[in-house]
Amino acid sequence: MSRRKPGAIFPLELRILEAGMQLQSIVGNFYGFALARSLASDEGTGLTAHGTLYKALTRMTDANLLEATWEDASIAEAEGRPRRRLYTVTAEGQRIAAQARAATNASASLRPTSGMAFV
Amino acid sequence: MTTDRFYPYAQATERVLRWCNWYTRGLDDTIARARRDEIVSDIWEHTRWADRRNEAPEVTSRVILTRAALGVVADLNWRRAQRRSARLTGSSSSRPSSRGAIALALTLATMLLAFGVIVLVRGGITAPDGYVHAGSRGLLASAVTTTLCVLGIVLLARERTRILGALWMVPTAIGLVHFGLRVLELVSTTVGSLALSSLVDDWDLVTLLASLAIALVFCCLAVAWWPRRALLNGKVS
Repeated sequence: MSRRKPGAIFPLELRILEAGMQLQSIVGNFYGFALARSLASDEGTGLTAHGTLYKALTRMTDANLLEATWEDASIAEAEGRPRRRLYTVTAEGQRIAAQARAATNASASLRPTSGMAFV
Repeated sequence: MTTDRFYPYAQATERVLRWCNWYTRGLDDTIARARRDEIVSDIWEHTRWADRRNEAPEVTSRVILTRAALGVVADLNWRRAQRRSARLTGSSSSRPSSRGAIALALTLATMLLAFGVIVLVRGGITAPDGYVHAGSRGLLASAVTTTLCVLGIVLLARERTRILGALWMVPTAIGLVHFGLRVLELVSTTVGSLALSSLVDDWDLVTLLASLAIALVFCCLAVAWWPRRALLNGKVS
């Protein structure tokens, strides 16, 4: 696994935090497939690969960016489906996402456009 | 129609779960079960979503398999991270029964190797006395199977290749015991007299049964170590 600076996150992790915050603002939490669907519709791409998605979710939970709990089995049973693992973005996750988004915007505004580069 | 009852979809699900069972094998039970449950839930939600969009089951199956295939490297990295973390925290992924089985496999394989070495030494010592012609084919086969046995021990000793090692030892054990006893029959007074003794009606049958019994132990060990497939049988329905 690659080492990284404290507070630094991968682009996929930032996208997960942002999509997660959006989902949890509507229903209070989110689960793997809902997140994959949200990422796909935001970016107009295919659904994220199982391995990529769940590895990132594990890593982010371990880093305290997300909090994970298993859904009450009785709810899943009543709806006749497997239990979902429910995630919420923690306060630390929200802070890191805001920081990463600000850094991304700052670097984008500093980047010269193609016209300016050769003036 | 729900997509999960459509045959190509069921096949895709089975393949994904088989892969999941493979890369979660030997990990802590809680971690492995959590990953499998999460994949089961994902596939279930995926198929219901596809169903609502009236997506063709063939397309859904293909997308499920593609998602699994594109995540293979991440799955393996995740597995490696889990194993490293288990080593750092000192928790062992091997269950006590599994450790016993590993000890049994290695002991049995080592005993077979010792047997092979004895056969080669006895066969080699006796060869100048004229038995070499009669026993040379058996001696050559014993040399080959003894070498294969060394490789089998190496495979058994490594966790990654343990199942392959057990399977490797099946034909090796049959060959080593069978050909080894053939050679000893010619060069050892004790084994020779036992083969001719009235106590043993059919020496060939005895050697065959002995080799099959040892091979069966390795077969059972390979089955015991094989990733559990209980989840394949209808958890997603």
